[in-house]
Amino acid sequence: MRFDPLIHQQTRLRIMAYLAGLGSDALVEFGALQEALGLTEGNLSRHLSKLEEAGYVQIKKGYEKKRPRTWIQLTGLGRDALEGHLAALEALARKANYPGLHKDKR
Amino acid sequence: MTDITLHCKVLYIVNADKNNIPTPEEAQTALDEAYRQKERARQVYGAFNGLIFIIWGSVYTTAYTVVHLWPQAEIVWLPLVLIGFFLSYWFGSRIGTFLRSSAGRAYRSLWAAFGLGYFLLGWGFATANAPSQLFSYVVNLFVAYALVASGIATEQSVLVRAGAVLAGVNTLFFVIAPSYYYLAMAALGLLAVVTGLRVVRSEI
Repeated sequence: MRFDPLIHQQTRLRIMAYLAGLGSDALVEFGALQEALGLTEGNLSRHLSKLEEAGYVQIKKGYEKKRPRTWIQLTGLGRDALEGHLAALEALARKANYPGLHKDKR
Repeated sequence: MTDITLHCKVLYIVNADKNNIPTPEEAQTALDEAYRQKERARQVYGAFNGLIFIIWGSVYTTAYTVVHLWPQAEIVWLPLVLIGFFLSYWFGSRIGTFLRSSAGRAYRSLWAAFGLGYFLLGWGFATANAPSQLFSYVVNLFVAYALVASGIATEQSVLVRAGAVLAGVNTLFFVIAPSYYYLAMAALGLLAVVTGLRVVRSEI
């Protein structure tokens, strides 16, 4: 469980969560990811670069039917970081009840 | 809210901002968004399964109804199955242009093997002049198995349930009420169409 400021940025959290939801080894095409998350090309590229630098995603370039394609994949490190971050968020969210709990005890 | 709890909450928010840690409310909002995105991603597979249910449910309903009414019209299966395979392959290929995964590969291999097995089985049964109801029964057992295996590979419980229901109804009517077997399978096809429509509507 580790709060990760890099993942916590809203767009990056959405990217990571979406990739995780596709499955442990899924590769998604850049355009499809852009469409699914409703982001501009530049915006998605910028956030993916940061995630790639951290080793959380892998960006693979290739061709399909002679057309260039960019594929995005969540790495094992990225998956672990996301799980740790979500666990930290859950722990934080539970704290929202603490004042109420103290009040009940009184 | 008492003054003390309000004071605690304000202190927490101040501390949270200072350390760049989200407040509990912000954490909850971020969590909700993360789980929503995970769920949306899973719907890519869900929508595909819904389409497959609609295609093959339509094939089953049409073919089994025709064969129940006109037992000599078994040839109706051939064009319908070919259309079913073509549409399934086409929708699968469309997903493959933007999504690749080992689950998808397992799914594709399983159904490709099934397609080959289906035509070999059909050829074998036709050559041996075996009863067509027995052929249907055997094929449906394989379909049930392929559905369960696909459901496990893609983590889609609806496929596992569909496989279990198909195996159960298939065996029940083949053994207990063979004269209603085709009709029961047609009804099951209709159920698959309805389920598929519901899945597609909820996932898109």
